[in-house]
Amino acid sequence: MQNWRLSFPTTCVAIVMGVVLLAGSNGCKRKPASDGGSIQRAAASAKLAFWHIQSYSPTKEVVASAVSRFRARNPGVTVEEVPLSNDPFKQKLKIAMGAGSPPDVFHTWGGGALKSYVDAGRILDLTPALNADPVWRDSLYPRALDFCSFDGKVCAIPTDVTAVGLFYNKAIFERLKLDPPQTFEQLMGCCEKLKAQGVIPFAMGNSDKWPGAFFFAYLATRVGGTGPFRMAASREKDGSFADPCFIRAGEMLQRMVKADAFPPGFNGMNFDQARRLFFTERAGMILMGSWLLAYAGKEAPEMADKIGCVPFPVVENGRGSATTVIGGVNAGYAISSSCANPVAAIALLKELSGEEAARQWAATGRIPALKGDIALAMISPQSAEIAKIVHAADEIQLYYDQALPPRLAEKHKETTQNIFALTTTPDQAAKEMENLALEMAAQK
Amino acid sequence: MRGDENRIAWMFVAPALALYALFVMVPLCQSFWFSLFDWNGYSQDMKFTGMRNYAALLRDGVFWGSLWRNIFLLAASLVVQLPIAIILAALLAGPVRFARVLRAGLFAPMILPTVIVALLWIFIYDPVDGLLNGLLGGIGLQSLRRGWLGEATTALPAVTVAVCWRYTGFHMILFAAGIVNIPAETYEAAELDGASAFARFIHVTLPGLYPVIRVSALLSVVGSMKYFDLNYLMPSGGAPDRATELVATYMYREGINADRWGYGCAIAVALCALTLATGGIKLWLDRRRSQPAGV
Amino acid sequence: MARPSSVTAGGRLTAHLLLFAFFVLAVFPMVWMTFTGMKTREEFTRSIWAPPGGLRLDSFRAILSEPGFRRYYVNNAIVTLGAIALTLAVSAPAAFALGCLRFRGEKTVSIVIVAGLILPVHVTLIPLLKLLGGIGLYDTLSGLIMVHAAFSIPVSVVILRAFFHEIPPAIPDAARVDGCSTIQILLHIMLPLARPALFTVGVFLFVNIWNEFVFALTFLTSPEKKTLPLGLMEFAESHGTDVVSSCAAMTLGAAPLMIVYFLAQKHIVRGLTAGAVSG
Repeated sequence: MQNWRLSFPTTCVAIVMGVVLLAGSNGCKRKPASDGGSIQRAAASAKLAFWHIQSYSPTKEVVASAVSRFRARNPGVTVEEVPLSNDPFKQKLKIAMGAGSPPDVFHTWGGGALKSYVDAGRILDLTPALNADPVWRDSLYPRALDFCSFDGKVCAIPTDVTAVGLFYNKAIFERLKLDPPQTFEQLMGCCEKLKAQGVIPFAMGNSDKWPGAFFFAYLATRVGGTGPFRMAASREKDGSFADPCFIRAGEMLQRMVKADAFPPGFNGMNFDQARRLFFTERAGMILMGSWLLAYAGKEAPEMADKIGCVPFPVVENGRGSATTVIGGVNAGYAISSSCANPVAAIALLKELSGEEAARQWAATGRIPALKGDIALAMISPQSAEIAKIVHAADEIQLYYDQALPPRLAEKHKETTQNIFALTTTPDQAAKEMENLALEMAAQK
Repeated sequence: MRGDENRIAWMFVAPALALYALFVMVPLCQSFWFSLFDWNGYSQDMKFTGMRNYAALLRDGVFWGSLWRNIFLLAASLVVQLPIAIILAALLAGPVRFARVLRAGLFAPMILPTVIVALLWIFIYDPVDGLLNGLLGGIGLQSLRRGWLGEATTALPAVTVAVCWRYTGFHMILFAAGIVNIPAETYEAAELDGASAFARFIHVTLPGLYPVIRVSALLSVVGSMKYFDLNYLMPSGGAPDRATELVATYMYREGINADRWGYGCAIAVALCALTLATGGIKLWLDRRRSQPAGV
Repeated sequence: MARPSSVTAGGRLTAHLLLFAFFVLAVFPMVWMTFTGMKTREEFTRSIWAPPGGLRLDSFRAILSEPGFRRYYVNNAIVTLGAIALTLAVSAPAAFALGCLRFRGEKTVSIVIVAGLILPVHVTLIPLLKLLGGIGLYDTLSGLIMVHAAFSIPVSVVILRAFFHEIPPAIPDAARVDGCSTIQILLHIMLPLARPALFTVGVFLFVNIWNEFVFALTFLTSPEKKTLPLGLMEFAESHGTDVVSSCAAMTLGAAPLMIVYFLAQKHIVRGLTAGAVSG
């Protein structure tokens, strides 16, 4: 009893005081403090919070080694590295932006999401830094740089380009005497034959919605070319998301679904579960970004020689070019305008996009965002196929969800998921997209 | 003396009230304020739109669909959880071996973090390697195998089963406590009249549990209106057709992921009004119940 | 507990079968999770049902050897205990004032606080984010502690107030005659008497805050600040195809509270139900 009587109030008071003190010390970052505050402030400003999405081996190590090289060259600066996984990252960044404390340096895929931060004045313009270092500027892959530039201002530095390719299991195809499909009809034929042999045609998990969107974007691009999407997104020249190419793409998707091209229950599967099907050779194909190879290297090294890659098939009577690829910047880095130490942040970007980092990127199976000849010289043998497809492309169509502003992007993924689930018609889905686009245009 | 007591009482209430006001009441009012804007949360430019978000909400099919799912969850709670919980509690009150172990096991899901519950049920529902499909295949019901969380028709029931799995044990404990409070004489009298165990359950246990049933039902109403966790976590990105979206998860996804903080806040305010309304009914019922005793 | 029992043998068997069936339903997923964590990857691929070949703790050991994972436990404990201490420290005096003292505005205060019982926490998430960002508490454990404490005030005040209200006024009155001030009465007489109620509240808050997910998800980002539920989610995400490791991590994540539960079942059950019923 005695103990209790003494300890309870004391503990409470101590804890409240402690919390208040902690809260106070955390606030120091923003408040210009008196006396010793200036030292603390200098120390705090020499810290770079760095968020990226390379949370798994081996690319995790590439970033880590770039950071450690940076640390060695900038001993006064501490880098607080925060690796996150893909979808949580998108959400966390929005939350942090909303809370007013974004990281100093962070991952971006360029495109619409980056643009909305640029429009909100949250991103540092990197053009002056690039112009001050022409060697750096000229080493970067111009197409990738385009995805990170708005109104002539470069807002992020790309380090890695990707493209979505049709990956297939060579061993299974050989065993069943199949050729990788070159047209959509051949693709359907392949699906049928694989299915007849008890092999799942496509490993696909669509619960996160973006894997299905790859199919949609590719089919729409092969049917109508890149024009309809560009015009619909920018609302120019009567562009419309109800363009026939989007509707036809939806119809083709539903044809694939009805032909059981995808594993049962794919709408509730995520990418992890889906690639497990491909890596354990239960599925014959997977339509995926080039990052698949990095996963393969780690999770199924024995598959290395069995994975082949071809461009997405063409569509009969399609207006799109056969070499256009769906792709984008798989990793780029931007600096937030609230960064207290932009000089250090730019130095970190140079380290992340420099030749040493690029070489390591390439070794993991990635395609560094450097000019063609430099990049192709570095590329690892396993990703040579996909890298050639990228560099031979007449055009890179940025992933639809990354090209669009966030709200439309969500709608695009949602309607596409519904097309896959057969709960909506392609016609309806197209109308929903177009209505939202009109509503958003009207608000502006 | 009176003034002194007044001062001291306020001194005692002040810290709690300050903390509560700062982190609960002020944000609540801000929710309403933000809901009057078209705003993505991080931009400097907040466009005042008055009640337009609310007008849009009234026309928003996804919102009404989500609300409908909240009601589905509530119905499941009332029709599935409560009856099972009553039966389990009544059985446990009888002459049962290992009653303590059984009760402990039945309540255990309540102790798990929802994150673990969600991950577990994701494994159970996994379309390829899942336990449920494995079980169905094993007993010759291959035709029933499906991607439970990925199909618009099965996703909501599947998540609801997981919700029931977690909370039924909780209601069972409430009922078990209620049964203990039923006077033993009532049972004895019924038994002397020759009532069977089943008849005693119907005529003694159920009426005796009425006050607890009311509490359980009200907890279900308030709890279902504001439910979030499992419907958000399973499946990870959301089922097709927003098949598992509830009002609270819709608020989160729309407000944060789709860059519509203003609209998200409008959903939040609507959710708040709905729960306060259901809660108000509860308070009103409480008051009615306690009045005879108070007077 | 003893009930007069004229139950037929058949009835008794049915009762046991039913109870046992539901027991298996409730417990099996957890047992499966633990067993799967003990399997090797080959065993798991061969059969998802078969029990592990032995009591293999390799996966568990591997996870526990990661400093990051151990950190989750520490963070969770800091947040949970910090929030409970803060909640009780502010709620106990408030509940005492509302339950035993008379003052102007009493009614308004209690209505405002009781309304918090039914308020969905998610309603305030977006503004709270702004607020925490504004005062430098975003992505800090102390910020999370304060939010948890603020939202725990209603339930604590309601339970404690009911308890203080039950204490016969003669007890504090006698102390007052002996010359105790109101503060002394609270500290030396009422709080010790209220130990069971404080304990109940503490248990209720412990289980809820220990398992809490949405606040942690929204208000924390740094890996070294993650709480256990957040850490588990992250672990499962980054070990997507590795069910065995995920199950081992989940088992480890569930373990602390499960152990407490089996040791002090009665208290946990009572605390959880008391807290929820008054809420």
